[in-house]
Amino acid sequence: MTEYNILGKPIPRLDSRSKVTGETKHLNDITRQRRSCRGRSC
Amino acid sequence: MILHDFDYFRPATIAQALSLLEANPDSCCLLGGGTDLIVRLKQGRLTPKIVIDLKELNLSGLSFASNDVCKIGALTTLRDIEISPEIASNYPALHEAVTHMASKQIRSRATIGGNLCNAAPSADTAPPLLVYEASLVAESPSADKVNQNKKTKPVSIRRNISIRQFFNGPGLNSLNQNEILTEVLLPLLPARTGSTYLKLRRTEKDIAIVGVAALITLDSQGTHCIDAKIALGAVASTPVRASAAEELLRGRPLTDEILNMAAKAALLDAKPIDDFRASARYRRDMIKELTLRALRTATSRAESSNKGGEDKMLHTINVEVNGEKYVLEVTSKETLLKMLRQRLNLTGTKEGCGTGDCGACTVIMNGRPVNSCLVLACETDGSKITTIEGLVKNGRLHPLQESFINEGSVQCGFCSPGMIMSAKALLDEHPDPTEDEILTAIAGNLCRCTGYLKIIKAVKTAARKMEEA
Repeated sequence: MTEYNILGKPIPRLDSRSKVTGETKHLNDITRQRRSCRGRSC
Repeated sequence: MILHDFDYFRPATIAQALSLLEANPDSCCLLGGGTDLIVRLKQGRLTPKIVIDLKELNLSGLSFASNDVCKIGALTTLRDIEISPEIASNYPALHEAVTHMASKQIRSRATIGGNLCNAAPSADTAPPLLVYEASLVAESPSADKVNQNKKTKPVSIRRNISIRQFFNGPGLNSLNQNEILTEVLLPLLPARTGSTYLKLRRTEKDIAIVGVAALITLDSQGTHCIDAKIALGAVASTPVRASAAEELLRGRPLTDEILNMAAKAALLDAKPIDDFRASARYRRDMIKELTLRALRTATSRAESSNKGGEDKMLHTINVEVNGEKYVLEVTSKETLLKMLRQRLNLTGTKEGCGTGDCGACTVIMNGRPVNSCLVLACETDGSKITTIEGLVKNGRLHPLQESFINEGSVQCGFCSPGMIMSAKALLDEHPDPTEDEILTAIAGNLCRCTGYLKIIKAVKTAARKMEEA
C-alpha cells in the first residue's frame, strides 16, 4: 500500500490565515462611494 | 383600433402654438406625451381636426436655478421627475407619486402637464402639488395685436394659477380655451418639513383607489406642528385639500391622539363614490388609515430633517487601540464598532446583529471582552482596546490564531475574529481553562457554519502551546 501525503489527512484551509487575522474583506467590509440615483439602474 | 383623420402640427415657438390654438378653438387637441390623448382618439371620445404637438416648445426639464423655487416644465416626463435626485430629496411626495404611476413605458412618455390638465380625480401628481402649494403657469396669446406687429411684443401673456384653483371637476381644469400650461412652480419648503404620498391601488400599474399626500412643518424645538397640509386623491370630483384636518394639527403637539383625530377629520372633505375599484365605505376607511400613516411618515421626516449639523455634539476622546494612541472627534451616537471599522478602517471586527447577541464584534477593552456594537465611542475615552488586528506580533500569529487554522475552526470566517477575542480574554485570565470555562467564555459568540467542537479544541490546543512556551 502506498502511503499518501495528502489524501485522507486534514490540511489547513488556504484562506484561514487571512480570516483569523481579520484581513479578509467580507461583503460588508467593502465600502464604495455612494452613487446618485442616476447611476443606479432604477 | 383605428385613429380618425386629423392634421398634425408641431409648432416651433409658443407664439405659433398659441395662434394655432386661437384659430381653431373647438377642434384642437394639445399633444404632450400622448398616453391619454391617443387612447381617447382611438376610442373616438375625442375627434379633433387638429393635433398640436408641444414637444418642440422646449417645455421639458427641471430647473433649480433660482433659490426659492423649483421649475418643472409642463412637458417633463414622469420618468425624468422620478429619476431626479433633487426632486427625491426636496419633494419626496412628488417623487413617490410619480414612482408609482402606471408602468415604466407610460412614465417614459407621460408628462406632468398632461396629468394635471386631464384633471382626473385620481391624478397622482395632484395631491403632492396641492400640499406643496405649487403654482401653474399658463400662457395665452398677447392681446395687443398692434404691439405684436411692432415686434416689441411680449409674445404671450403669462398667468399664474394656484394649484388649488386649477381643478374644476372630473376632466375639467380652469385653463381658458386659448391657454397652454407651460410650467409648474414648486416653492422652497421651510426647514423641519417632511412630506410623503401614499397610494392604495389594486395592482402596481393601477390608478389610485385612494391617494393621500401629507406635509408637516415642525417648530424649532421640533415638538409642535406649525404647518400641516393634507391632500386627497380619488375621493371627490377633484383632488382636494383636507382643510378641516389641517386646522386640527396646526399649533398642536403631534401626539398619536391628535394624528388620529386629524385622520378622522380628513373624511369631512372627502365625498367618495362607489365604483368598480372600491366601495365608498371602503374608501372612507382607507382615507382614515392612509391619512394617519402619511401624517406619521411626514412627521418623522420633519423630525429627521431637524437633525442637521447644528445639533451634532462632537466629543474628543483619547483612546489606545492595539498599542497606538489616537485622539478622535466622535459624535454622541457613534459606537465603538463604527469607530473601529469606519474611522480606523479596522474591519477585522465584524458587525453582525448590532444588539449584543452574536459576538462577532467582540473586542478586548481594558482587559475584558465587550460587544463593541453596544459601547459608545465617547465611553472609551482613556481606554485600551485590542482588536483582532492587534494579535499578530512581529509578523507572528498568536497561538490562538495558529490553532484555529490548524484545527479547521474557520469556515466563512465571520465569527472567527470575535471568537478569538473572547478566547484570548479567557486565556489571559485562565491560562489553563477547563472545557466548561471555555464553553462559558464563548457562550456569547455565535457560529453558524463550523460548529463549536473544533473551536473548543482549538482553544485547548492554544492553551497547551502557550503553557509549553
